[in-house]
Amino acid sequence: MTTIIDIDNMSVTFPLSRPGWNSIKRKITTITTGKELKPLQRTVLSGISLEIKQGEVLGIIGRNGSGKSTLLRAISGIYRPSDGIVKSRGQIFLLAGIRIGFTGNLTGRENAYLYGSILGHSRARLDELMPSIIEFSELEEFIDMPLRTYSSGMTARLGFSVATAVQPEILLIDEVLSVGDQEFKERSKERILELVADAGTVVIVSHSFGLLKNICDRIVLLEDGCIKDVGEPAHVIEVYHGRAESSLLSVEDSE
Amino acid sequence: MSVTEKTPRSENELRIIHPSPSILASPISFYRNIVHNKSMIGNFIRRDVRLRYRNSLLGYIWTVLHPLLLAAVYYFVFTIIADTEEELYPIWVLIGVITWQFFARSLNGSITSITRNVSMIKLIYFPREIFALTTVGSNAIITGFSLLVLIPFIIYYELPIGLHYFWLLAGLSISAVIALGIGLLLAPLNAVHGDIAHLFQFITKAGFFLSPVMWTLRMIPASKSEMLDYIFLNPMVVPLEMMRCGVDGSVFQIELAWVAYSIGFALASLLLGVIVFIQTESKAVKYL
Repeated sequence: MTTIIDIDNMSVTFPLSRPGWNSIKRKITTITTGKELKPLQRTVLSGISLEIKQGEVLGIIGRNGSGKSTLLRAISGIYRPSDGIVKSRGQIFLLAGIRIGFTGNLTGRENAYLYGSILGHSRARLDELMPSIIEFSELEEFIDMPLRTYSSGMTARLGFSVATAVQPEILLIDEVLSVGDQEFKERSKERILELVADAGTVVIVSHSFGLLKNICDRIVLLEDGCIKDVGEPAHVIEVYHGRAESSLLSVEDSE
Repeated sequence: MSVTEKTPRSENELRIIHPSPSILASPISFYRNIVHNKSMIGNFIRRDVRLRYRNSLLGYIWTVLHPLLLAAVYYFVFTIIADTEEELYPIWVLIGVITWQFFARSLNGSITSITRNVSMIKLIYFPREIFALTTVGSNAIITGFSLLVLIPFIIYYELPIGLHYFWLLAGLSISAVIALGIGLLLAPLNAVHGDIAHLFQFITKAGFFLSPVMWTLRMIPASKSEMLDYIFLNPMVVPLEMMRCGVDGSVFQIELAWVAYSIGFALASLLLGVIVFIQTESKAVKYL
């Protein structure tokens, strides 16, 4: 099977302070005293190496702040790695925010076209998709009213419908989205599962281990920005709960 | 779901993200990003144009009314108080105001293009130079609309109609390229230090008076003509004069060297802006 995403020794760091007089002072101190000052940055991910194959569903788990969301954003290109290389093949879609570019004074339809084009769909393609988007969002005649008159549930439904209208080649999901009322929640969960089932490749960040166990082929456990374990879902979840030893080495051997 | 046509980004090509993009490839990827995202750029521009006046009573009329009212104020100051003898002064000042407004809005809009779109930048990746491009694009369209206000003046003053309208296109293009170039150059820096936007708010206000917006080169007294060499260092002088020739059909008589300087300034700032933007935006967004 071909590798769709290939992450090689990637690190992502964020600067802690803005460059300014202080950083000039630090430079001067370094030059004059020869003392190496600790860099003013936070390493969110370090030394991540990961190969994701075509058709694979990969789960990412870890505590808050372990770098799960940053990893997805680095794969999608939002944050450029500070070190290492990320290679990918195919259209990537990050399902994180579902109301990107939404503007209150435009109608639902205008917003749908704008959001759709941000997601990379051409106008002709959106013309085709629009009936099914409107149908799934259940907005009916409200679609031509300004977005500011929508309830938050209606806005979320519209966003979700546009975001999931097209099957992406690489789908990145950040937490399972729950939007709208109970009935729409059910349907949106179904839709995500459908997308996961049909998508070429899926990387999903979630805290619902039950869901991950069901849909994932492999799970990555992140801890403090490093991969602590990767492999069989049930086993990695056990490692996360501290009930099993990390199998990192043995998994890498078997590949 | 059947895929009947190829969306630009679904090309199955290998995408490689390095810690830093190559300097030489920056202009090429800038060009490719525009071509690949035509539909998105169009939709952003459409949104901006629609939104500009949507929640106002007079709507589109404001595009025309605002420069008209401003011009009326300068007409009052210069013709009635300073007693200018130029017959065409009202039309010159009107076109000056429209052109400068386009330049200032495009420039300030491009400089703040990263900081104004933080929420979008953090949720989805697409080439971020698109924000600056669409700002300049939507301002160009609005400026195109406001130029229509000149039609009654052209009729009233019985100005010639003809090929000289080409100068309007040339003047606007040079202004747009300068604004986009400097805007791209400074947008990443402004994401780190917001001071840049404040500084340029001032610079565009000062430039309004220092450029021939409410005065023209012809109004400089002969005794002070040695000042011309300094005035022409401002790259906006040439496009502003082009716009005036474009409307009144007078002969464009600026020395070719200054025209070349202005065009060269525009192209150089665009090239530098594109390279610096593509090199630094990924570092700058980590400060957002």
